[in-house]
Amino acid sequence: MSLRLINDGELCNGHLTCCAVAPDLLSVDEVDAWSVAIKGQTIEVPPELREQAERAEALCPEEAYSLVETDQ
Amino acid sequence: MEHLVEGRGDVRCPVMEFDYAPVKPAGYYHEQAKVLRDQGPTFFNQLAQGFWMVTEYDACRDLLQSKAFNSESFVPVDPDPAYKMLPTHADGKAHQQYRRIMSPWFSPGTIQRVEPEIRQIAAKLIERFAGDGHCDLIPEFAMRFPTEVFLTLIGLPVEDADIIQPLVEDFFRGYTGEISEEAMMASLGELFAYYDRVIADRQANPRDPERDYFTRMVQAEFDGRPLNQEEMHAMCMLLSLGGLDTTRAHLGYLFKHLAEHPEDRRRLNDDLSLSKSCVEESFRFHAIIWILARKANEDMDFHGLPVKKGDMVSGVLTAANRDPKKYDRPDEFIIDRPEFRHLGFAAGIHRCLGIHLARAELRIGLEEWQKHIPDYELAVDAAELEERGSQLSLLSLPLRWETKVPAGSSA
Repeated sequence: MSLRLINDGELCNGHLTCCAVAPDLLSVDEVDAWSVAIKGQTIEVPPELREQAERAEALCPEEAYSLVETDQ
Repeated sequence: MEHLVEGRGDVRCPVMEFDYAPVKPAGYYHEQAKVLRDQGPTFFNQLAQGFWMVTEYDACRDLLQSKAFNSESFVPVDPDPAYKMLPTHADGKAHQQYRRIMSPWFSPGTIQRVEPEIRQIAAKLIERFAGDGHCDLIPEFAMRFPTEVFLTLIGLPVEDADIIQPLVEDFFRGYTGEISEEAMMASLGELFAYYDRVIADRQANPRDPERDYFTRMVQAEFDGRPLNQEEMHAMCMLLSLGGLDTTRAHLGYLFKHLAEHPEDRRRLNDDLSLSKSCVEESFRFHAIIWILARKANEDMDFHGLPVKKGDMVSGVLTAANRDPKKYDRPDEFIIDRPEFRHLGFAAGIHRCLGIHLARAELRIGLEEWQKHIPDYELAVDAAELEERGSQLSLLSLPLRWETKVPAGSSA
C-alpha cells in the first residue's frame, strides 16, 4: 500500500496553503518553484507524513488535492 | 418575494434592492447576510445597474474559480471602474506575471522570517497604552499595527505610517460616502505622489531586489518591458488598499468578539496556543468582504440563474462562510473549531495574496495583546458602535481594562 497526493493543475493557483500546513511534504518558497514542484504533480507520501498530506488535502482552498491509496 | 426578473424570460428569483455600503450599527451586515442566506440561494439586486447575488458556499466558490467570468470589476455596482488595481483587475497570463512580481513578499517562508519583527511591532504598540487602562483599538492598534508591519515588510520607513494611514482611510471613507468623492480622489493623488517619490528613489538608488519591494518593482518586466507608471500605481493601490484596511477590520471584529465573550478570553488566557484556531474562526465568522463580484464572459446558466454576457454576478461571502450545508453550528464562534476551509480570503486566481501575512498578523497581534492585557471589556454600549459596509469594518472600538499601576503614574 502506498499513498499518493494528487494535485489538479487546473484548480491549483499557488496560494501555498499546502506548504504552510504540510511543510515536510511540500515546501516551496517561490511561486516559480511552485509551478514546477506542486502544480499538477503527484506526490508520493511517506507513511510518517500521512497526517500532513491529509491536512493539505483538507485545507487547500481550491480543493485541488485528492489523496489516493494504491496497491503498488 | 418571488418576482420575474425583467428581460430574463420566466425565471423567478427574489428581487430586492439592498445597499451594502452605508455606515450602520455594528453587526448589521453580518445579520443581513444571515437573513439573505435563510431566504434562499439566489437573488437579483436592483441597486445601480442591477446584479445577481448567490449566498451558498459552493456557488460562491464556483463563481470565484470559474473561467466563464472575468475580473474587470469586483464591485457589483461598478462594472467599469475608473480606477485600476493589479493584479486584481487582470486575468490569465497578465495576472500571473503581475502576481509573480509581488508574491515573494507574501510566501509562507517570508512571513515566517519576519515573524519576530511583527511581534516586536505589536508589543511596542500595545505597551504604549496598556498602562492607561483604556484605548480605542481601531486607531491606536488595528490601523497602526498592519501599516507598520506592511512598511517593514516591503522596505519602507515605519514612520511613514503617519503619511499612508490617513490617506488609505480616506479611500474607504469616500467609498461609503463619509467624505466627498473629490476629497477621496485628492487623498488618492497624495498616496500616488508618495509612491512616486519612492519609485524615483529606487530607480536612482536601487537596493536588494530580493528584499526591497520597490526595487523589485522598478526592475521587473512585463511582456519583456519595464512596468509603466500606471501599472506601478495599480500595484501600489492593491498593496495599500488590500493589505491595511482588511487587517484593521478583522482585528476590530476579533477584539469586539473577545471583549464581549469572557469565556473565550479565559480559554485563550489558559492556553494561548488556541490563537491559531481562534483567528481562523474569526476569518470565517466575520468574513469582512461582504460581497465580491465577477463579470460574465458569456451567456450561461449559473446555479439556475440566466446570466447574460456582461452581467455582474456576486457572491455574498459573509453568508457563504455561515452556510449550514458547509458548517456545523455556522452561527457560533467556536474558538477551537477543527481546521476547515472558508471563503474569507475568496478563492480562485485572485484569492488574497496576503493570506499568510494576515494570519500571522492576527495571531501575533492577539497573542501579544493577551499577554499584556488578558482581560478587557467594551468601554461603550455595544449599540453605539458603528460599522462600514461593503468591506466591513468597525469605525471605533473603545475598550477598557484594569491596570496594575494606577493610570497616569509612570511605571
